[in-house]
Amino acid sequence: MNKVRRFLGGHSYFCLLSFCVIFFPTQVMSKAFQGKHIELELLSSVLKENSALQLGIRVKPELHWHTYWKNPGDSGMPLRARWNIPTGYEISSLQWPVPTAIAADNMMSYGYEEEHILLVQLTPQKGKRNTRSEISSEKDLDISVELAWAVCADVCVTEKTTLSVSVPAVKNAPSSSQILPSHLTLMSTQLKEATRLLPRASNESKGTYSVLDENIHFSFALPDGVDSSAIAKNTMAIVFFPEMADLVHHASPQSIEFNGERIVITQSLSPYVNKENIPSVLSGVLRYQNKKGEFIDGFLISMSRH
Amino acid sequence: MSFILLSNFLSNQRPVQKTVGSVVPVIFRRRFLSRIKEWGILMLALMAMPSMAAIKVGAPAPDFTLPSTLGRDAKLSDFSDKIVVLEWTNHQCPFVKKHYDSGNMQALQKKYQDDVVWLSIVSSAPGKQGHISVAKAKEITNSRSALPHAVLIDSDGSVGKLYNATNTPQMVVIKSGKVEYMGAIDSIASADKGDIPKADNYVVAAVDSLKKGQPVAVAASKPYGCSVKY
Repeated sequence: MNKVRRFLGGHSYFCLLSFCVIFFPTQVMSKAFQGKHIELELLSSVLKENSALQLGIRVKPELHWHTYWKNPGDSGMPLRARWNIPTGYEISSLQWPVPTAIAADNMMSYGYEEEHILLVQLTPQKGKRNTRSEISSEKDLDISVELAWAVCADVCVTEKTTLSVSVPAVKNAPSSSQILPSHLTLMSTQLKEATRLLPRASNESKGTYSVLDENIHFSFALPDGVDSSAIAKNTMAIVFFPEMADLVHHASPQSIEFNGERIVITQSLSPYVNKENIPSVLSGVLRYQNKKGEFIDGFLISMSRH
Repeated sequence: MSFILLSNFLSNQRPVQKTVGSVVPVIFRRRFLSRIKEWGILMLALMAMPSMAAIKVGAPAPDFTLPSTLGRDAKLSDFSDKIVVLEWTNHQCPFVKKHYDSGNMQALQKKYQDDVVWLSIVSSAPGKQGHISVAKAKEITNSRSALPHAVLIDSDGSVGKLYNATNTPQMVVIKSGKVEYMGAIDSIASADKGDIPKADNYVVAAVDSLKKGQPVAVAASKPYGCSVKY
């Protein structure tokens, strides 16, 4: 232990914990699915009275392989999840962490080259008599999910599996005064960490879009913390990911203009888009990254037609 | 401060296996430049980009000649009096396997054997997944009981790029030398054979409309599948 302390220098035990979480999660996990070039696991937080249950699908592509965001870009396929949950509950849609742009052969994919977690929440169904007390029921919750995905490097592999987790009922769940079993602590920490990597909602980031000839212009307020002068100096960068899969020509460059407090991003339209069918409100994710492409921050952007 | 920054985000990523086109220079404009000038420069920069989609619905289908299983080169314009279906394929791609292992693709080829010239095109580069010789193409066609009019070998990828082929499978329907449909084979982007009966097949819809002399309702749809291995 002394050696570890010395190694960590002035860092706290929290650092030690996060280090473990980020780099050695598989050592403690037993139920992960080992697929071809990928590992997947269903994570759950501990049931607590009067709160939603946080679940997550941990996805770890092998080095140099990637999986896809909900809009996969030019090729590929996002992971699909079909849930089997106890009656009286409902499950949210998947919440996807901020993706990265993966380019090869003049084609563009949007996805993940690193381990990441797709989050969902389980809540008692609305309009049910027992609403809140349901989640504190005496029964353990058995949850499973059928997954289908594509993991690609230069080539692609598609596979399917079913993952399951049994969540102890509140009365059986370890209370906060007890020491949680190590795998539960780890899961909770992983799920909390995953929340940090979701794009942040920001009221200021509402904007407008307009279509002119074969280009689309996205215009929105500079989100908090995004430094336009650093972007101008190329020490930081932004990438915009539209949710609609056939909106932009993914591999075409994004031109970025700063006009006071606003960002205008211009990109060629997809050859497959029908201009008449572009919805009046578009959304997407803005990724803020350093020049190495490492994630700094991410924002949900919503835009209405100008 | 107002400026324009052209970010080709191809340049931010790990090394690309094959660079097509150039990395776009950063253009930094000062506020005194008028907006019109800025956009002018932007448009010039965009025009210098790697080529965009070369084909468009309603526009002429660019002609090409490729080595084929016909025993001679196949030339698109030789079939200008027929409806032509172009199918980009890679026999090792799971999304292609979805449509061949289920018999879906063969059924389409058979359905239109008399009315349509069906050309399967392989744009995989030598050494990349799916690259095959003409002889191997014949062997694969026999082994999976496929019925294309011919399989065409596009080793340098030039025809794939001309048609903006990004995926396998990816489809183009041509009539009287004009592009009438381009994109996905059907409406469910998955690798699951079970989805085929539930999906709307865009190629069937397009060919059936064209046979009746009607306009194609869905003329473009984003393709799904494996990337083309240029």
